[in-house]
Amino acid sequence: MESQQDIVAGLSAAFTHESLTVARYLSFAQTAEIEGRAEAAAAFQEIAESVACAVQGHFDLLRDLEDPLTGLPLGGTGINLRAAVTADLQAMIEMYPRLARIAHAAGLADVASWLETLTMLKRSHAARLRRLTEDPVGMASTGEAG
Amino acid sequence: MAYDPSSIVVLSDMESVRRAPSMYVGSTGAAGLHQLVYELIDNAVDEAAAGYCRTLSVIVHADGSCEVADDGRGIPVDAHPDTGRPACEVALTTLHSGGKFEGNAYGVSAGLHGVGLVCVNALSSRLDLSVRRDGKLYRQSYAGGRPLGDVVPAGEAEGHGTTIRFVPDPEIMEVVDVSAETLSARLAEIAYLQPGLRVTFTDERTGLHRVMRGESEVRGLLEERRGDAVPVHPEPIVVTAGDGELSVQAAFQWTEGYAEKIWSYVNTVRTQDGGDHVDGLRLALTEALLASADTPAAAEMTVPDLLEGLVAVVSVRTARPQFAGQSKRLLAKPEIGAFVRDEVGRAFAGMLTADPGLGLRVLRRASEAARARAAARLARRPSRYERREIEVDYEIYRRQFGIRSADWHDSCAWLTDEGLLNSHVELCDVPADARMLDVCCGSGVVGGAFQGRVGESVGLDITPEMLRLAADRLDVVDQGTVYDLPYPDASFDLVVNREVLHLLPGPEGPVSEIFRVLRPGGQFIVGQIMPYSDVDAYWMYRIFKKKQPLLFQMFGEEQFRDLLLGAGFGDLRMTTHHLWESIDQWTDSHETTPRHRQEIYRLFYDAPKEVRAVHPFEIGADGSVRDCWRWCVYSVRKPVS
Repeated sequence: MESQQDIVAGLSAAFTHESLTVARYLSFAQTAEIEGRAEAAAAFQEIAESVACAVQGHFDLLRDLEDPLTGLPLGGTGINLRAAVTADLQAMIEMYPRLARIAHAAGLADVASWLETLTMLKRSHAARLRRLTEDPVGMASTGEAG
Repeated sequence: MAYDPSSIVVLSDMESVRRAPSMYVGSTGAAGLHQLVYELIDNAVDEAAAGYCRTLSVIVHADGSCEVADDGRGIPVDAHPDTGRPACEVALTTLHSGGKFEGNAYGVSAGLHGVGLVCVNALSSRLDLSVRRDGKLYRQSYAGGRPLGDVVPAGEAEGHGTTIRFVPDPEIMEVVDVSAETLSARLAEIAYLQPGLRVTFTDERTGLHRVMRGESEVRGLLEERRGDAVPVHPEPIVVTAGDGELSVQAAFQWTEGYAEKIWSYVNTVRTQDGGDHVDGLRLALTEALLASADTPAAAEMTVPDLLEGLVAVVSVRTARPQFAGQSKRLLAKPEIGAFVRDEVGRAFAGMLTADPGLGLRVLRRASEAARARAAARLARRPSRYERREIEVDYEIYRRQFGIRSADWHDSCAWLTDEGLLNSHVELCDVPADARMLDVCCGSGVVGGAFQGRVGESVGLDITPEMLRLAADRLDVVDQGTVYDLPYPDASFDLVVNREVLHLLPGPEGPVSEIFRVLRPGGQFIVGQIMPYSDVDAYWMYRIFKKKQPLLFQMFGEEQFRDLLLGAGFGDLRMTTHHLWESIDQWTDSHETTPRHRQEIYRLFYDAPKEVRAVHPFEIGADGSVRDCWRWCVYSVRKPVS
């Protein structure tokens, strides 16, 4: 059992690692493009696309176990929406406000303001997704039994 | 509905273009309308490039019709071998029938893939063709793309050439009013890039007549585009290389400006999105500069740093261009990029060796700009995360706004926009003899707008250069800081302020100071740019922070309201005002790094759908950006007791 837990933890870490790779390479591609390094830009862009596909592959395995972000079960759209709302609410209520407080305390007003705009964004996303969870037609068609 | 042969509609070429005009000319708006004229112009340019045409004349007639005439060989009028119809009629009515498809009529070609004449004809309510050829004049007319008769001889004629006059069809084209400014700019480019071609432009609607002859080629075009920007080195650098198959002409010069501006062309057609020739030029210049410098400091400079303030024209001629998309806005041919990089790089490296002072001047300019910006950013970073007090380095504000005072009113539209100023003044409700403070007054435009509504106007700013400007608009100006206003309690009936509080760390302090210097019952009027909703605030933060490193807050409405009410103010009212701003103009500024400038454009180009749904902005055909800013103008009052 221990080895199975190890592999789940390892997959989850790899999922995070490769998600970061996608984000980093897309930013690197833009930098290369601005510098006129078309070949490097294309390399970063194309590699990011492949890694994004690999990220989905990691998630194919992880989603059958539990949501790596919330620990909630995943599956059809109904329960996915619930996990998504939970994660966005957590970010909106806890993560970003806490980080903003730390930034303010450190005298980093601009960083704090950035984090506050993310609190606003998460509030909007949580509300949008929550409206969908309250949609009885959508709920009825998600096949949650599986 | 039955699906049988009768349900399949075979469209003629004319109907295809008329039913889907945007597919052929990009749009039915102003861009598409001008593309029609360009198609005719480009045909003349092709004749000139092939050595057959020496004059090009464009006339916008008083009735709005547009006429393009050249003295090229004249479109053939003989019977076309495939159809038996006159070749000129085939060219005007059949897609992909132009001489450019044969591959032997032109060495290099500007026009669109042989569909140009058909598009112009199909999208015109009326078109008149005149051809001078073999000593005779031939005429034919069309309506809605259909010939009204055969090609008929109309007497003797001297010389040779083609004249087409057309009336854009108002039933298809949303815009039919040709812009003299747009056409004139395009014709000026052609005159410079096709030396030997005499270009005239006449606008009978206004009496405008211009003769353009650009013997100075890319250098002349560069000097025209550079305008009055102050050059870093006195003479533009010109590089010419290649042969009839592939050639490049480049002219470039560094200026004391901030934006990097490159105008690029392939076969005289503007490639607005750049492409491999532009990448080749940029790499050639940076590689040659870095090789000439050979210092650790230079090695740390990025490409955008080195090219800040660069103004350049690069023109490529090639028999086989390759573009991404139909509209020819982006050259996609790596071999051409490598060619430009090699040729320009070699020539520029030679010049830097011959004149070491040239490289030093350019590198010094780049390093000074990079150092000044880095210092401004680093200075406001606390050295330790646990630091709690907010220290403000006033020198950074003084330096930045001192530099910007030189062209302050030209740096963005909102500064002097009357509608926006009025939205502040309309909230004013104080006695006629009131004493007003315009805090962080800049050039005093906001305070000046309250003239006649108050008895005395006082301006306060930290920057001496700004105060000199403000002295023309306000009764009294004082130098000082908003964190510690140099006035006793209850000194003013009105305080005004616009688009400043987001630049101040700990804005609670300044707002409390404003509260202090107001008399009980006094009014505070303050304007700020705000996001449209929760979903565009983070996107605006990224844009505004890249533009201005001194940004400390992207206020949302709730936060700003809390800021004002938290200081003790009451009686809050708010109005909104929407104002379009040119992002190109706004970001052409000292404090914006070249890299950030380009990242800002990409934030607009790649804006998420959620942002686009709430936040209006426009991206022009040339990549320029206009953003509609949402101004929130607040009025609050200090309680009487």
